[in-house]
Amino acid sequence: MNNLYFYTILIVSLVLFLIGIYGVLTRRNAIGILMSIEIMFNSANINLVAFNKFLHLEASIGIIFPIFIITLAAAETAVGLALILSIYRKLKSVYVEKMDLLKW
Amino acid sequence: MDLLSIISKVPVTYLIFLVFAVIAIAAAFLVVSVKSVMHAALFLAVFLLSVAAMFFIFDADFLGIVQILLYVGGVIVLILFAVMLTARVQSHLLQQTNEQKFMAMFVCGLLFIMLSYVILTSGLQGFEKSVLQGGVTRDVGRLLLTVYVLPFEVASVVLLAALIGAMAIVGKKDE
Repeated sequence: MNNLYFYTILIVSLVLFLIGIYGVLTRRNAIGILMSIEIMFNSANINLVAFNKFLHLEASIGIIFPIFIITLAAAETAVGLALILSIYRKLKSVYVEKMDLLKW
Repeated sequence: MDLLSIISKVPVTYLIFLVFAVIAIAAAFLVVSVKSVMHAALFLAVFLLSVAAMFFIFDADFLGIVQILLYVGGVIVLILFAVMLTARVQSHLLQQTNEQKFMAMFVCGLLFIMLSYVILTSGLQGFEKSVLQGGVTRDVGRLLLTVYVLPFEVASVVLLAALIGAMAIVGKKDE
């Protein structure tokens, strides 16, 4: 029973991660891509917390890592949205196919 | 009667987890597929709250509170502000996905087959851990100030750098 529970959690977080990948690959809007990245971060966090609960770890390492992930994700979102707003001022667009200045 | 005995053996937390898993997957799917970016941001809030509920179910109560405070309280507000500041180009009539839709579905399906095969043949044995005395929060606090004090301080420096960097990028006056 516990094994079924554990593997269900892993499969659910895998499905969430793949939805995030799908969003990153198909969204045209840069803000939409950032939101998909947040989904991927959260699915990784679910995985780590499940490992902490179901595998016998010495200490609560599976709680410590998601704290750092959440912190860095917040920093990443702040910088990413700042970049998107600054690009929006220059190009008047948030669609990624317009951001081709460095494209060869 | 056989089915009933199976159901009575299922722990309640598993059923609650399944409910929140369905909510989370549906909300995440709507985030990547809905046309209006504003609605996508609100569905992202639903997704993040159901993930916080999952953390509570898995005895990580501190992490659930951090998730609600930082994500639903901070990141969602930031994203909503960014969506509203760029509202002029966020029309419902615009196509929000590119032409790689079926290729992306193919890649995701392939990855799902590969990774679920790896997970199901990994042979990991999951035992439910007994809850620590005084909850997991005490353990986390002790670890953050002893073993993981260096990453903790580095994370604070990273946050400060990100704050200053975001202000320097956005707050520049146009010449």
